[in-house]
Amino acid sequence: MKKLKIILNGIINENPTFVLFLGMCPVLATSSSIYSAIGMSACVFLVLLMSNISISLIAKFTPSEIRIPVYIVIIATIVTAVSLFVNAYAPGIYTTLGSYLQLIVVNCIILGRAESYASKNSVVNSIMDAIGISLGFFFALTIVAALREILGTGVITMKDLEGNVTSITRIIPLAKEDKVVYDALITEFKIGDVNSLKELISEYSNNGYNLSKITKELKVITDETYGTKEVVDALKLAANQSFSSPYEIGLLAQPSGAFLVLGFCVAGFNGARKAIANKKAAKAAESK
Amino acid sequence: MKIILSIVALGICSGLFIFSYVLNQRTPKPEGCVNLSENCEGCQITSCANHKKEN
Amino acid sequence: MSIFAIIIACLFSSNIILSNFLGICPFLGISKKPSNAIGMGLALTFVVTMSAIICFALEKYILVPLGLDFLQLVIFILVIAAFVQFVEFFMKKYLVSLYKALGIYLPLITTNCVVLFVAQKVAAYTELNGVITFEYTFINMLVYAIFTSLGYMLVITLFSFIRVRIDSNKETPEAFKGNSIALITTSLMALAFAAFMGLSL
Repeated sequence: MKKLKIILNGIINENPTFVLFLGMCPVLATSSSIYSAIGMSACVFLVLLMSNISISLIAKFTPSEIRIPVYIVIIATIVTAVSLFVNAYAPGIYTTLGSYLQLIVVNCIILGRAESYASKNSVVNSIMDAIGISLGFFFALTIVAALREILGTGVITMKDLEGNVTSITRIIPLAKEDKVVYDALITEFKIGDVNSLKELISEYSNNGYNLSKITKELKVITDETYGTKEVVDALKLAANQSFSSPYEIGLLAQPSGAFLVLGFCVAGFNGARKAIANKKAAKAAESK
Repeated sequence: MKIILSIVALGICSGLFIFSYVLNQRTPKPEGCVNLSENCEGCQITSCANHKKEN
Repeated sequence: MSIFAIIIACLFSSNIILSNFLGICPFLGISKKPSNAIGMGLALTFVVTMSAIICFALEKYILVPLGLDFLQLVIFILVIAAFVQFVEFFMKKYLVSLYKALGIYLPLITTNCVVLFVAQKVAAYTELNGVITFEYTFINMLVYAIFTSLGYMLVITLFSFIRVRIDSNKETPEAFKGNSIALITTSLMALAFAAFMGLSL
């Protein structure tokens, strides 16, 4: 039970993003979509786990004067190994994260936890702590990314490890006229598949606009007939991926939206945590 | 060949780092320097030399 | 890219804090007094410029010809950290007055995201049919490094002036005090700087 308490500690009381404010740089940078959030927290989990294990193993043998350089060398080699591994087996995540993957080495989480926890505790406790901290990081990052993606763009775009789009789920409803064309387009072509849409448009603009061919290809499931110009406009819009609902908050998809959402999440989390702690203390004082 | 070269390069750089780190630690701060750690209390970078130590 | 375009991009339209989200830890920790902010910015300028020059030279003349490109991250980190420690030692012994002004911030910059980001960006190259071309010439790299850290100093100084007022305000709700209201204010600053996005040269 004591081990589970360490994990819970990392999620609630020492959440690295909301309470300790460690490692804010990747949280703000990779919270633009849920896919990159999951990828980033998986990489941080790998690095944190391996660094906690190795540092808790060698902490007793290093002279205390040179511990920081030794920790930095170990963490840098681990991050190099993880980034090569991710580049080989999950190239989609590697291109999405960009240069933020290699910046995990100067992330305050890894070095901070290494020095404040892993160098003073046993291996098993360090493993539990690594799991707890990265679960807290994953939780915080996913909440910010979910708010930014759902309220900001209205769709959740899921990609596989190669970077190809697998599913697009719309959460915030479109306006009614757009919805019909959108449904037709998304059953035939995944909107992330821009190249096939562009080929379709160039083919139709070369052959003249042939309405029956377009509607047959799209399999438009409606009784209303669309004018040729409207169908081509819909295709062009989908190729530019700019179907947007009137209920979205476009600000959240921009860089300043990251700061805004993170500020509100920090306030909400800390307020809830303090309120629950106050209630528990009041109950304990009452029952005495 | 590459393995030997990379180990040598890593060894040189780590040796340089550890040498300059120990040299820096052994030099005392000059007198009259301002202790700034009370202004950095929100910062969580534990590898900073001015980070206040928790007892 | 022309030098003026790089300057405008680094200072305003792709500022390293407000558009690239780097260096946030010291940004929230140091920016409580304007004098701290300016000192931090100047120290960062020096370290970033010298590190960019050293890492560029390392990559161009040692790492790439020997084929050790996969060690880029480890070697850059070790060299930057060794350089910072050496500079601090040098300042403690021979430039005491400079150490009193700027030396306090030097250990903070070792694990700063900005230094490593700039070093990795200027050392980037493309390989086409065995011909290696670096994306930054020497002058471009110098200008990029100097003005990135000047952009950092600009934002952190402006923010410290605002933060003095925020922290002395007694009407913020209890849950928002501290870093939360600072982050919301930063989002307003980012909105203001995003007005430069349409500036293309």
